[in-house]
Amino acid sequence: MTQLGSATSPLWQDLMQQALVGTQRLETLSTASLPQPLQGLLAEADAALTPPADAHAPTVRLLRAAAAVGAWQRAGYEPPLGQVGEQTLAPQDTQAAPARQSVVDALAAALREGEESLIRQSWHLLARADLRLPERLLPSALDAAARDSALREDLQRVLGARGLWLAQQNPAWKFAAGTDQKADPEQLWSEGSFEQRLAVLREERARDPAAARARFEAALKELNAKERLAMLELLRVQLSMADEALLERLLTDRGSDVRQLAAELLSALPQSAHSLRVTAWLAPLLVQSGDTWTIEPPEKENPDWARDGIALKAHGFFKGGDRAWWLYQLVRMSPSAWWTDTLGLSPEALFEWASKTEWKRSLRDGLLEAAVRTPSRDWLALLTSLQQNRFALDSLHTLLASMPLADREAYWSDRLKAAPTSVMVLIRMDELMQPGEELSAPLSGQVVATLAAALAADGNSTHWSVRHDLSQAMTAAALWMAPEVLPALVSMIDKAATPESTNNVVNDVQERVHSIASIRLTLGGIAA
Amino acid sequence: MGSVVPLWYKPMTAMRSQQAITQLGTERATVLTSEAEVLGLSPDASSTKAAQGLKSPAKWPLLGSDEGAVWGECQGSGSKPYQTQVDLSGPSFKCSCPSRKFPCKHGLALLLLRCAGQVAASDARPPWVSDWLDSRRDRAEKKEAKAAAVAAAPPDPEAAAKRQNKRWNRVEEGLAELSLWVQDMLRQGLASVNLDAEDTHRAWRNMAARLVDAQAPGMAARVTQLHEIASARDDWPALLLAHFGQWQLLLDAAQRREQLPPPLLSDLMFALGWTQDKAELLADAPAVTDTWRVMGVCQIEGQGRLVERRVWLWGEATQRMALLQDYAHGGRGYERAWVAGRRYAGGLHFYPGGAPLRAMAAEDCSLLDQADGAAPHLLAHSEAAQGWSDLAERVAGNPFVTLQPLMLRDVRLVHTDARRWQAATSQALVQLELADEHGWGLLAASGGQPLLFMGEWSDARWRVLSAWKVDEGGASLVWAQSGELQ
Repeated sequence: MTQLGSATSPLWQDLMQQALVGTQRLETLSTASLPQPLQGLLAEADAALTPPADAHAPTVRLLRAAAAVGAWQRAGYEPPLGQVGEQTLAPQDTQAAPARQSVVDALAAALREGEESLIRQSWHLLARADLRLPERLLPSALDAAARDSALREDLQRVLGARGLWLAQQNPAWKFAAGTDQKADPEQLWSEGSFEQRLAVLREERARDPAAARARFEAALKELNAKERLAMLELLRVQLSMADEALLERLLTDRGSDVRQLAAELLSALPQSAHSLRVTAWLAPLLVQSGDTWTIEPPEKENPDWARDGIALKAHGFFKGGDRAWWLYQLVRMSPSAWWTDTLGLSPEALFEWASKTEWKRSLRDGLLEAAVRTPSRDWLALLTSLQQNRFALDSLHTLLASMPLADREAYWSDRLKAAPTSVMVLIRMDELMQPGEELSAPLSGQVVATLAAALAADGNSTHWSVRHDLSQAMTAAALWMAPEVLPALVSMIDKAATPESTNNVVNDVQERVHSIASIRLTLGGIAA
Repeated sequence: MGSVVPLWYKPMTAMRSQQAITQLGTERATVLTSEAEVLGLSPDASSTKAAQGLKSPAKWPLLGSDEGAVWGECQGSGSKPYQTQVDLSGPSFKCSCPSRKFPCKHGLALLLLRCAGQVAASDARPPWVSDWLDSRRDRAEKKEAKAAAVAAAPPDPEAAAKRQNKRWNRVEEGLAELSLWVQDMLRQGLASVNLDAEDTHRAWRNMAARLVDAQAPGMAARVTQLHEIASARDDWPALLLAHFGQWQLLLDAAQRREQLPPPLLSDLMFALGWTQDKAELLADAPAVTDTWRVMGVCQIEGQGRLVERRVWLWGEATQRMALLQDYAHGGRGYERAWVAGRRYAGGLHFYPGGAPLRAMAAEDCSLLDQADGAAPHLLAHSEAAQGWSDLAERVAGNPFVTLQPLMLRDVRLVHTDARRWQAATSQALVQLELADEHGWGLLAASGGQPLLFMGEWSDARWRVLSAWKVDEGGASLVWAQSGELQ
């Protein structure tokens, strides 16, 4: 028997025709096509239940026929035969899923919490213990990574064979449908998903920069502009003059973002031909008379600039004339050390000098951007003092990100000492922590003290942004502090909570902090 | 298939002795030990999240448990803490908070804390806990006493017959209107019907309202549901005709109700909207005692915030399906929760009918500790031929029901295109009623392996509620539709 729906089913054909047209127009129902037993039933019904003698008679007959056919079909339903295409079975997993229920529950809770850092941490810990995600969590994990690409690399390590197989079935999860993560790097590189290839390249760049460069260079032809950009980004790590030739070549890449990035990377190499060209353009603009330096922007544009990543036309949002723009562009593409060396000034003094010139804006913005590319600790204090400046914040972020955790911790510790209630430090800290890292116990203690002081000062503030910053800082602290200090944070927050008062900011984040703390404490013991 | 026993009218010899039941009832206490299982009871996502937030012992000034119950006091926003308690034999929940959810976040959190090993064993139940547990027992006894009273002295038959006649008169008026309405539609022809038109919506709503007035709420629900289902399907004209035909069957049966055999009359009356008094049911229908496996749970929100919960049970010795139907309206919760995949020992009182399926759980029904056991009958009844023939027998026994349980083994989940799921048996394809995200969950759980599916069958669509892995040890649950509202 065919499906209920198909009006072409021999059973329903005649009935449907009459029902669609209407019994008004098509009065007689032919039951000849019905199976014999059904015809008999209908005849019996006609005899036992006399249809009304009025105009409704044909309709009632149709309804009774439908009653009989419907019951007949409901009872005798057979699913339609259908060819099922070749379907693959998920391969056996070699990685085990966590055996302990509490770990599974914590992984699920991290996904429910939805916090990117927490999810990445949880997967990182899982991968470190050489475990995979349990089957039940795969769809929500894949969904989360589909929404947030920052999760993808960590996910790939815990997907397991089942997760990989699952991702291959759903176009929305294509990003994860690569090769078994357990395969050797060469196979991952040739057959893996883009995220897997990125991971191979990143790992190799850290270990053997020249091999990674060669790998990237060999793949250039098959990569699209977006992929070239993402891979070129990885060359930042261990950047050296050995990369110069490749970067020079990329100055003429088809992708404008790739060209721009290549130029920026070259500007991070003070000895590169690119840097020498840029500084050669800049040098004549600087004039020394006695102890004082003055600067004049270029009078006209130079068509050669464009090849070196210097835009000739100002962006729409740039405030200032063409000359100011050219100066800004040249300065941002120059190595920051060239300025401190040439003028013989510290970054602070250089900045001070720039502020006094007529071209203050172009110089300062350009210098701050240049400082990002050759991260030098000399600039740390200056950048920190410029918290209101967007370029300075970006540069500070990049500079800190290039520092090892111990150095970052020393910096944060100093900042907290200088400003004991500044929750902004904690919020910025959150952006710079990587899965697998956690704060030392002493700094964690300092963080708890900072939060306690900040809560005492502003806990009942009605100002939206103050409340927002406070709750973000508490979440950040819970996410990154040393696990052994988490109980101290939780008990400090529990003490600060006042269920009876509705405007205490702690009440809003208390549950979140509890949840993050308990997830981290559970997963911390994952390998045990 | 020779060993398969017919589905119903199983001789009472299959019942266990009372003594055996008592022994079964004592094996428990390690149930509900995983968060996933506890959260499976959650009524919705926001309750799940809220319960997670209450998982810290710091929020519970008092916590305690013994092998039968868990209790605690949770600090809420008021000055007085909420008293939360769970009877583990159900589980049944009680909480002094004002929440309308069942179970509320406190009840869930209490069980979560228990999973996390943060509820210590206690020798002494606080009075408010023992009072509640005692009152539950008292109520059970009262129910039995009432049932006994009903059995001993049936209410005045003459007055009852008079009441029934009065209702039948009103129902028949409503049915007559329905009949004319349907006939008009067919006279004009279904081709001229536009289900999405505002006029049509109004007409169907009015018809349903009219049937409620005529004391035929069951019929009213059919009208509402048909409009909902048909609006979403391409094959709606055939669907309308098939259902109109079934309505005609009900109309004809109602007209000849005096000639119907009693089981069929019960089915008819239930279909139209009569409800049976629970005390009467307890008195009339002896409990069928068995080990009942929870094959699936689903909750559907209907009109006016009325939530229907369906729990499908499989009797391991009696080899029959049972359906527990509960309704939660507004603030009222259910008496107890049922955990998908778990087994319960105790009795069920089946509502009378041509193919008894609906049932009410007796008070002695309690959650068993042991995990899955061998299930030879379950496996036999889920062989394709047997599964479909069980369905056919039930339809034959009660032609008025549209929703049927269906179990099939060796079924693989197939994803046809972006939003359709199908179940593939060896050669045939069954259309599934499965939300996209649930389909992916089931596919993840199956890994492409054939499984045993249990679900609800209606209008040639299968709403899968659970999936089981079959091996020598029997059938073990690998996936279940969450109990959350759909």
